[in-house]
Amino acid sequence: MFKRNKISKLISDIDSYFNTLDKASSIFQEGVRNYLYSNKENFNTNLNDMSRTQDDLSELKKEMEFALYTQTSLIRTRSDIMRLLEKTRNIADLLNESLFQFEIEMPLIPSDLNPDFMKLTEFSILAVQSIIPAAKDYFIEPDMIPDKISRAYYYEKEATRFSQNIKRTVFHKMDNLKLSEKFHLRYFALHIENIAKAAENVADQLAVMVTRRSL
Amino acid sequence: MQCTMFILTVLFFTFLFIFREYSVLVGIFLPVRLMKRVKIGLLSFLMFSAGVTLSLYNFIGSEHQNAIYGNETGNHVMVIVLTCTLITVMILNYLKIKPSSVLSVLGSIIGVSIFLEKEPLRFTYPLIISVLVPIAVFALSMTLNLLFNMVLKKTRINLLLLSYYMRYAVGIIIVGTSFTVGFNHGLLYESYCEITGYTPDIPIVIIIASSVILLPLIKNFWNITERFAEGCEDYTLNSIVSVSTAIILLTSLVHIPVTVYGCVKSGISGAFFAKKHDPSNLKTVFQETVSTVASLFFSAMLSYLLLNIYRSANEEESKFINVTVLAIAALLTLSVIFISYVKQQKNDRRKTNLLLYSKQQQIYEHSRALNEMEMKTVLSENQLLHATVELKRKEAMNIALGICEQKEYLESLKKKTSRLYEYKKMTDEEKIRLYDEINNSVSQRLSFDHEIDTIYFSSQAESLHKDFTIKLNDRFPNLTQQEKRLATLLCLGFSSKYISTLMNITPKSVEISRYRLRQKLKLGKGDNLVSFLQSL
Repeated sequence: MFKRNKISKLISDIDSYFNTLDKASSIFQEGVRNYLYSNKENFNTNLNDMSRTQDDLSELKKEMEFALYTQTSLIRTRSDIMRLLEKTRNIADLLNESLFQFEIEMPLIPSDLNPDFMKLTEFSILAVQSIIPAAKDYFIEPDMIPDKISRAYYYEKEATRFSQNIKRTVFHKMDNLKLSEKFHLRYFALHIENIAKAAENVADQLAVMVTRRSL
Repeated sequence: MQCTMFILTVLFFTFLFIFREYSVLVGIFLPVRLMKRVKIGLLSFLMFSAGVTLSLYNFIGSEHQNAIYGNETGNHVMVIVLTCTLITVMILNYLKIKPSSVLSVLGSIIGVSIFLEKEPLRFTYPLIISVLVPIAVFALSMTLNLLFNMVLKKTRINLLLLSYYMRYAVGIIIVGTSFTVGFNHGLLYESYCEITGYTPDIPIVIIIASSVILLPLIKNFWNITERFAEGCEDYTLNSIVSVSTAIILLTSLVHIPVTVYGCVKSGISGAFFAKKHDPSNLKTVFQETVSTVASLFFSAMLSYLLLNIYRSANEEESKFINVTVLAIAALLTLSVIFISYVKQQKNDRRKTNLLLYSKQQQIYEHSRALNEMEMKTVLSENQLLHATVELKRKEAMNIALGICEQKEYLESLKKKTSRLYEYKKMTDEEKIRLYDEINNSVSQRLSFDHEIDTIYFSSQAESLHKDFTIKLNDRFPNLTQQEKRLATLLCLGFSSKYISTLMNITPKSVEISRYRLRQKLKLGKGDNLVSFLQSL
């Protein structure tokens, strides 16, 4: 009668959404590792898992949007939450697209660059994974958010640094590579770096939301 | 007659309250968007009517009426209370002190009661309570808001779950607030019944209460409510719940009719002060307190005065005018005059400041226009100077070219004349040929020079003396081209001999042309032609 179940479902949907995003980030990291170390079978498994998580995320997002408008009476925070969901969905899209670009374009990554690419991926994923608990905390303990999002900023900086190192190595030191191959590698480094930047955007959004909630 | 009078006055007061006070009671809940506004309005007024009905039912049914305001019969009391309320509201509105309609009625009732019972000190307690109500609501709302936020932080409740509970909490709050306010204002209607000596039957009470529910269907009511609600868009659910809870607690504890508008405004200030500690919130509380005091005391004094005047007019034994009445009348008049004067001064100061500001703006605009004009003038002067410099440059170039050409010609002439060294060896034919060559060359040069001079000189002259040419054309349009050229050359200060060379005419012709020019310019015998032309 009082639609308590629907609210509980909305709360659990939000938790599931962020958990699925976390899972997608882990799949991406694993996928990149498998590609770099030429584990084709595992890489294909990662691609399939990524597709499934994308479908789950789309479904969850639709249900959450509907429930936010019909079940809650949040005056000011509703639009903030919608914006947060949009930006996190953007991260999921980037993860999906980047992994599939590996499969489609099949870049030739020299084995010397494998550790650098792994580090870059690691920091980008850490940036994503640091904003997930912050996003969950918005609904329960908004005061904890500033501490958690500061990590996202740090990881984003590190990801940028590693990306620049890779580009520098490719263009300054690897004379054996063709120009097209260099561009290709730069392109992939940029894509992985963009995931960290998207996480930084979400961190900015959370900072604004916390301020608005305190007013 | 008394019944009709009673019903009409009660309805009128309720109508007044709805438009002036209860619009905020509904308006504060609109931003929540819990349900449609008409539903909120109807629910609110339903509960309000229930509260009033219950209060009056207790009053009618009870044997020991909690009468604190005495008894009097007569329609004149109803009229006086109505009149005093209206006058108080109008005057305070005029003085820009937002009056409380509820407290104006209460003040009038107190004035009547003081007149009847002659015990003014008995009303000290209710008056003090009424004055302290806005401050109490402010403090209570602030405390509840802080408490609320503390509890939420401690319990770590999910925001979505909280919003879910809040939807129902707000619904309960709407019901609770409206009911307690209705019950509280039922006390006002009780007092009104006591002083007028008329006690309505239950069916009449229910009819009046039911008619109140229909009033939210009036469009104007919603205009006022929506305007208030727009200002509340920034309020959080916590603030609204704190304010409403404070009003419920206060109206339940205090057995004096309170002003809803003042309570809501003070409550909102309290909730905001809890978050931001902004001093403007304290100003709002102060304003509401002033409004409370003004409404109460003004209407009380006015009703006391009017009753005294009524009694003096009716009593034939004594025409003695009560000193107290005079003093009150004088005090009322002086206070109105004083407040009007202060307001007027403020208005005048404001108008003066506005005028000063507009004058300063004008001065600024004028000086800006002046600066622009000066700039334009300077720019156009610069342009003119640039054009002059350009002309001079071209002139210099032409002179240089002329010199080069002259040099070339002289060199060619020199070559020809160097053949004269062999003159004695030449035959007659060769001598004649040589002579012809030199003669032709010199003659050619002479005629070409004139053309060059004409081309360069005329264009230059006309460019340099464009103004002179335009003025000459304007004043003397009947001059021929030759005459205009002569005038230009004279203006430039050339002598007749040079002019004759330039124009390829004899000096005598120049003199005759000058004479004809003087005729056309209508100059007298003593007038100097050159000075006249230069003065144009």
